Amino acid sequence: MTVTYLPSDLQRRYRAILDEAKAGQARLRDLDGTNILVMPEREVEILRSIGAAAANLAAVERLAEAVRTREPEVTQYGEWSWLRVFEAEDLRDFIRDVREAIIVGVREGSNALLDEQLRAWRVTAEQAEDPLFASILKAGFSEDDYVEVSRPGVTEQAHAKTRGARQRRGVR
Amino acid sequence: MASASYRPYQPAKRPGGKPSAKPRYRVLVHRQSAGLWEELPQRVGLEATQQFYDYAATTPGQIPSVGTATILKGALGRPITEGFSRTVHYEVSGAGRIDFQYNNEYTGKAGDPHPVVFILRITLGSH
Repeated sequence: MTVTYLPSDLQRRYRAILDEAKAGQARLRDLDGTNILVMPEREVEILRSIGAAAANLAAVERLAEAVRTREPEVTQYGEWSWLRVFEAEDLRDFIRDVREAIIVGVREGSNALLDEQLRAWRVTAEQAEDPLFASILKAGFSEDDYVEVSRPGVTEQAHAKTRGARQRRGVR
Repeated sequence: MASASYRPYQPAKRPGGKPSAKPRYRVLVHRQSAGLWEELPQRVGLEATQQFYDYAATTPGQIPSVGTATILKGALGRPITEGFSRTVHYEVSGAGRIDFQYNNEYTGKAGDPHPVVFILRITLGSH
């Protein structure tokens, strides 16, 4: 059974209160009947970040529905304005990834997966602003577009030997 | 002329010592970034460039021991053709970024299947 501590317990039973709080939570009831939970700060931060992410995600989900018919305003993206570079299909992938990370976060009490997903998507958004990159990917693959390079510091003579050995073995 | 004891994957001697593992992957760079590849040692340092090359040439599918690697999401991360990995975005100490995909059994115009890393893009400077 969960113990509910009273204000007077803060002085006499502070150790028990702190130990319970560190183990998960401790409940205090003030004289006016207000219940107060004492928890590790880290857990509260995790809950807040997941809650904020869930609210942001709900806004993006609403926006993803609207993006099919009209260009959304930057402000509609909320905190995640960097999502504006993505097309509808990528937005759907983002929503799926973050939704799953939120579920895992709540169940496991950790925002590690959520932070990693947001970081990876943000890094991707930064690269998406480069038209050269997009053009390379859109052009498709052709081996003729690439040249072989050697380890920096390796002499050209050594590289030519390696190339020759590969050719003799039938490896291009 | 190659001697009987010549081992093609043994790197040439260079100042600073040898890489710790034998390279398995050929490393190719897109022509549009070939010039930047040549500039890398001067712009980000020879050691950092070698560290990237050693990582790409031996374990491109793993977390690098030096530098940061991110698997790109969405369309930018999509394999450029069948058999290729998703795009790996490698950050060289904040001074440059290298985006690549790899194929563990690439069969080119000629030759047996072999592992290859294709560098799609090199970007220098911070972002």
